[in-house]
Amino acid sequence: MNNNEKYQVWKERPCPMDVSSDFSADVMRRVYQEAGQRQSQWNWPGVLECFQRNVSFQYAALAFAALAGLSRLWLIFFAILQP
Amino acid sequence: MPEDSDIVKHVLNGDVDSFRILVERYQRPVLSMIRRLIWDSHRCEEIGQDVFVAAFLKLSTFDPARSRFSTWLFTIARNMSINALKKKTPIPVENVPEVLDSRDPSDELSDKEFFAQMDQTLKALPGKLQRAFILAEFEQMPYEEIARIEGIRLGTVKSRINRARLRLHAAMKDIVKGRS
Repeated sequence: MNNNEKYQVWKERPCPMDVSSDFSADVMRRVYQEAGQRQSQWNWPGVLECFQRNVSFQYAALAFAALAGLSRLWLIFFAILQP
Repeated sequence: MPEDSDIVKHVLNGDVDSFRILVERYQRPVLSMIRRLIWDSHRCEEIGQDVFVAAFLKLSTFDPARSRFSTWLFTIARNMSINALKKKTPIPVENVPEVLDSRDPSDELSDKEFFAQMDQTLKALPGKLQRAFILAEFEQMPYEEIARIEGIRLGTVKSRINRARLRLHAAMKDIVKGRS
C-alpha cells in the first residue's frame, strides 16, 4: 500500500459509533424537566402580549389606574381642606 | 416523514413530544461530529445531551429562512465541542477512534501506528484547520454547510481544508521517512 492509499484508508476508516439506547430517553427527560420549569416561571413577554391583545383586560387596567389615581387625589384634597 | 421545520413548529406550539423525532433523527450525526471534534468517546454522549437540550431551549430563535435545522443544530454542537475542549483535561490515548479493518495482521500494527501518528498530527493542527478538515473529510459535510456552521466564507473553508491537507501530507512524509 502506498502513502496515498494509506492516507485514504486513514481518512475513510469507520469511527465506531454506538449510541446508547437510553440516549434519546435521557435527552427527553431533561427536555421535559426544562419545559416544566419554563411553564412554572412567569413569562413576562407572554403577559405583555396578552395585555396587548385583550381589550377588556386593558379597560380593567385603566379603571384600576383611574381608581388608584383618584384615591390619591382624594387623599391630597383631604389633607389640604382638612374637613 | 415530517420535515424538520414542521416538527419545530409543533414543538414551539407546545407539543414537546415531537422533539423526540428530531433527537432520534440527529443523534448519530451529532454524536459522531462531537466525538471527532473532542477526540473523546466517553464525554461525547454527555455533550450530545447538552446540545439537544440547548437546542430545545433556543428553538424559538431558529429561523428556517436562514438555515436548515441540521446546520443550526451542528452549529450548537460545534460551539459546545469547542467549549468542552477549553475545559478539557488531556485525552487518554485509548480514546482515539480505532480503525475497523480486516487486513493482513502483519500490516496491522504498522498501520495502527501510522494512523495514531496521523491522528496526533491532526490533533496538533490549529482548531480552525482541524475542524474544517474533520467536518469535510470525516463527516463528509458540504463546504457550504461548513461555512455556515463556522460562520466564515466559502473561500476560507476551502483554504483551511487545503492548509490542513498540506500539513497532513507533509507529516505523512515525515512519518514514512522516520520508519524507513
